Amino acid sequence: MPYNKKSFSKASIIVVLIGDSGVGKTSLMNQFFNRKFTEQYKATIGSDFLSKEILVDDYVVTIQVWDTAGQERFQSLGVAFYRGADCCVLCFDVNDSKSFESLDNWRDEFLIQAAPQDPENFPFVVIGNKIDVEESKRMVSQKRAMAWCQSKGGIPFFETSAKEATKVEEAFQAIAKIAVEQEKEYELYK
Amino acid sequence: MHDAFQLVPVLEQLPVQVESIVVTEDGVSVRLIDTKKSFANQAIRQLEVIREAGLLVSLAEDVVTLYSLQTYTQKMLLKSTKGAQMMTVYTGVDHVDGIPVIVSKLAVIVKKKLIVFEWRDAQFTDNKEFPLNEKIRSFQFSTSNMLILSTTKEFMCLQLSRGQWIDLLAADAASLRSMAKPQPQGTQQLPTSQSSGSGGGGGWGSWTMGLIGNAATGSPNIVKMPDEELLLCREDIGVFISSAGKLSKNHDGPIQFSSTPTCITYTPLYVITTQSKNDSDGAKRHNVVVQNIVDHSIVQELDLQQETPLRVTNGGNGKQVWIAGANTIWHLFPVDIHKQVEDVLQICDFEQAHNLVTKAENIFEEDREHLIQKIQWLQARWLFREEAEYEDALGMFSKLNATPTEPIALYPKSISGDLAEEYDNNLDEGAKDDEKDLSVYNDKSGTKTPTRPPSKGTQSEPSNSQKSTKKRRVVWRDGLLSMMRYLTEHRRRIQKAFSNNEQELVYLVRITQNDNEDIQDLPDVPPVPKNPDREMRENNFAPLLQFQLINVPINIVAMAQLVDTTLLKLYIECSPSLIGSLLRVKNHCDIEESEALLLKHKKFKELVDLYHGNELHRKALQLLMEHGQNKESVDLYGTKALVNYLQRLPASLFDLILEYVSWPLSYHQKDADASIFIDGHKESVEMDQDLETHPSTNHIIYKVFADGRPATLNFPREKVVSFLSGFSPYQIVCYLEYAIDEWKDTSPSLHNSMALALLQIVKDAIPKSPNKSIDITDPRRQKLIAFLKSSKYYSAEKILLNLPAENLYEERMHVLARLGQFSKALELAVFHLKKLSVGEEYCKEYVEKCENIYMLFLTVLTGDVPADVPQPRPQSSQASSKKLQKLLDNECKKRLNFSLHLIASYPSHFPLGQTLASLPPNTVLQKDFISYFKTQLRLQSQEQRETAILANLGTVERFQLRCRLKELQEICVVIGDTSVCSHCLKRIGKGVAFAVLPGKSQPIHLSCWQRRKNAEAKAKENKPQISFPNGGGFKQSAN
Ligand SMILES: Nc1nc2c(ncn2[C@@H]2O[C@H](COP(=O)(O)OP(=O)(O)O)[C@@H](O)[C@H]2O)c(=O)[nH]1
Ligand SMILES: [Mg+2]
Repeated sequence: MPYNKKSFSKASIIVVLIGDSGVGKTSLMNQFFNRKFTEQYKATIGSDFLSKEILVDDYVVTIQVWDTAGQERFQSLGVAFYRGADCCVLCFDVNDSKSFESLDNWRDEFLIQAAPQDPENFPFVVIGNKIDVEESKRMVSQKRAMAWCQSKGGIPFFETSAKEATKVEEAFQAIAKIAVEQEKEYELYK
Repeated sequence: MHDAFQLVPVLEQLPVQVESIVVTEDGVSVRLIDTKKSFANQAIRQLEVIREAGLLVSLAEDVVTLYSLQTYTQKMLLKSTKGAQMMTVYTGVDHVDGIPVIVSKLAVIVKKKLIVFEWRDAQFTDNKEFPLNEKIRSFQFSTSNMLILSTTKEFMCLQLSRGQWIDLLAADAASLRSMAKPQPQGTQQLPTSQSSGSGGGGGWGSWTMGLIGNAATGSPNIVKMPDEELLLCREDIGVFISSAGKLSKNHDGPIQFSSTPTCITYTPLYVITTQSKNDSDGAKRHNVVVQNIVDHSIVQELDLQQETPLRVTNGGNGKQVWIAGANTIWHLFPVDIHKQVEDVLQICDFEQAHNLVTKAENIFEEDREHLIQKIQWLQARWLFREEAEYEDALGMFSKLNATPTEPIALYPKSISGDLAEEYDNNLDEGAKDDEKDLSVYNDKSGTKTPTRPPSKGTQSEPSNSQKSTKKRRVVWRDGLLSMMRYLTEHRRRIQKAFSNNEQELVYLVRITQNDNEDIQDLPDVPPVPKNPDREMRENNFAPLLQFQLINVPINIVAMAQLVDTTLLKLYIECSPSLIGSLLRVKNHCDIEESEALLLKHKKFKELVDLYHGNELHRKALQLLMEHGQNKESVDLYGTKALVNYLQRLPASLFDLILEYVSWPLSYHQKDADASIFIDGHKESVEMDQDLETHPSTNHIIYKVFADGRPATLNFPREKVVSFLSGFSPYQIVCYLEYAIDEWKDTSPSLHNSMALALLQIVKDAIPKSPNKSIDITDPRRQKLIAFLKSSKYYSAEKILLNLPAENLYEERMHVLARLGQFSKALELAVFHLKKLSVGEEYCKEYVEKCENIYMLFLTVLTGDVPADVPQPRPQSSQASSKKLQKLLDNECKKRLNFSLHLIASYPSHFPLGQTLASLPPNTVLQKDFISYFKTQLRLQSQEQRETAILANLGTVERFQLRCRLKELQEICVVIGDTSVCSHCLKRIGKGVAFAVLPGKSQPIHLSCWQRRKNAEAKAKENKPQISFPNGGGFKQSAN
């Protein structure tokens, strides 16, 4: 069916996932790109990316998501790489308050490495993952996470479960939209 | 231009005329054959050496003769070469059946044919002839299997093994000139002239004899070049081709000579020609011209005066160049490499300097590397200073592993601090002012003069003022951003080193000659570089290379401090919103320096982060206090920032937190509190107030003491309460709601505090005028009552003591309930509060705790007025006393009526006998009492029935137990002298424990039974997991 697809001028938008190891970054990627989930934990080594085309407001956008190894902090990817990012996704595990408390540090380190033109307005997104785990194990309330996001200038916040595919699609869709908006340039494509 | 060579006459005033010359690879001197008188009778036209075969080859008297290279005695005259005109030799490695052999070849043009002689591993093996149908003007081997030849019209190549001829290109100057540099990927074929092969041009007759070693101006010439290349020349133009006969990619197009050279040779870096021109006085002068082999620029010209150079030659693949005149032999002696490099560096030709060093002979590898490093070092500096190519410059420094102090020192004082090099006199004076400081650098970066020698003339030439300052600022901003990236990258390296527990990092450090003494004690702190640019400038010929680069281990902490502090300065300059991030993550910014900088730039918020990172909490809090009270303060006015800071402190700093939370808490004394009595107040308090400069008291309490972070869970709660009691009970309530509701704290002292605080609030709300109370529906009282009812942990006695005597009876009633003093509570309702319905509600509420509470109530209602109830004072007058009596009677009647109402409403709670006994004898029972009696009677008969059922059940149970006992007693084993153990079959003797197993009649030793049980358990364990149902081995059936 012929319909007017428009494509975005930039070849692909780049999104980086960062956060403590074990919070589910790789699982979120897997869920979004392959619709798969595994309980097995395999630490990510170095970094890896996946990409696919998605539709954002009628624009065809190639989204390229980089998964990073948490334990090494910022040593796994080059500075140049962070500089190219259009959106940075800060991930934590709602059942692990330490992973939440690290967000400040992740954000600051990212800003230092990426040194964006306008650090105050660089698009971040926060994902609180593993909400499928029973309520009694939950350590970071939605309220607390939202207060943090609010204090950083209103970062969008999503609660997801990579295991049960809850809100994963929505989160990435929103991330793509935010990243596209960051780029600001739209181009018509026939 | 620079001096690449010195012309050194080696032999002068030779008594004989030089006819030809040959240089051996390792010879430093020329062997001059003419002095061997007997060597040849006629002029030797050409000499060649085939070292691998130990041969000196001479072409004289139209014939080629081979001599021994050692003795110069004749070995053989090649008769077949009679009539020889030209020859050329080649030695290389060839593979014969996969085995490498050294192959030497001699090609000779003899009349109308070409003869090729071949030696393998010094043994003469073969000669081949090829017919020629055109006159050959010049020829050279390009590989052992290929000859490149030229006629007057055409360059071509001859495939020796197949004897195949291929045209290469037309041999006229115009064709050569049109040869562009080939595209890197192109395998461009050489264009050939249309008229190839046809024997036009000069006939055989015009073959000029005696043009030995002289590229005849009119005819094409083929010359060997380094790296197996050949130069195809005609007149003043030459084209480089590779050994495969393709256009070479290593040169910037064809080489143009200023005039047609007489002789051509090469070194690895240069094409060397001799040229002649007419002087102003008409005399012919001869020059040696040295040209860059890549870009063909003229490097040097040397004057040979008037002696005509006959032949130029080189030995050892361009290692030595010799020029022979008629009576003089010159050696073109390379100038010392350092001097040459220095020369080209003075004109900023870094590429050439690099080439010179990589191709230089007679230099230790180590020195070569060092020299290359120094060149790159200088180039990086130059790119930065003169070209404003900051990114490239910093990239080079990175690649060199240069100490970061070096590039940092190139930045103005505002960034490099003490490391700053003196770059400009004007700059120093203006350095106080930052703007000026930077703008001077901006000027520098704006002037792009790549070839301007930095060493000549006055340096601080006025910048091109036409260039807009704005543009310059943009360029300079590049410089700052590049440095930011450079340092960020470096920071990661340091982080990695830290995580590997390294103590030191090794860097390449520049040491000037004067520093040499200090090298011994290696610097622990980053060295302060001296400024070579300046030295360079002050003295026209200050040697640029006069410094050393050495690897120095530098303390990692010191380096981290420098890197982070410099990064901080860059952020201040061009990305202020990153300052906070840097100071919040783990960093090594120098505290004092950073503090001063942040103060100077009024970055107070960031200063707070600096203090926090270094645990200078009191300093931070003090700053926040000051700025919080200062309306001018941009970021920090208000109590919010201080509160946020307190939130970041650990529980161990509890006392400090208390000290500094006082001011924010006392900021709104009046209005803040009532919100705790609104439903859902917690959410609104916690969420909404983050945007205000002065958050409400409750919000502060939530954030500092109760937001659930680990610290708040570890605070000593009683201390928090006693601290908050210094403010108001509202704040205690606010805090304790978290402790009690969220964290489920059950300690009595907290519950007491909660009750007392709520009570205090209520007490404070009671109007001062006498007999006025506070309505029961008031949310404050409701909250108090709700707490008194729900909490099980406060001390009732303590609360009773604090309850007012004349007021708040409801509260008192609930506390009394905790003590089980229900009658007392009900008396309060009846006689003090005078609200009988309150008593009824009370009974409903506590009937589960106290079954007979209704009876108690009835007793109170129908009993005497207790002594402690204030009686209306009997007044003297009769009338009033009568009135009083009437009143009392009225009340009494009211109570009685209420009693009857109760009995009727809750009939089951009033046992008949007791109830009737408590009612006054003259009570009139109404009609609705019938239902009460019915209920009671029903209850009693129900009770009776239940009792009967229970009794019957008891009987049944007793009977069952009896039966069971009897059964068990019937199992009886008699142990006599013959009784044996069913297991070991031994006698069961006296005093031995035995057992009888259920369903068996034979006794068994207890020990036997236990042993058997153990054995069985073991056997079960050891049983193999897989069993074969057929028990039939492992045999498999054939099909
Ligand atoms: N229950 C639950 N487990 C998850 C979820 N996402 C990831 N995990 C598990 O958490 C572990 C770490 O996940 P991984 O994606 O490797 O984390 P990463 O280190 O951040 O890449 C794995 O065992 C996953 O199976 C989730 O949404 N719910
Ligand atoms: Mg991973």
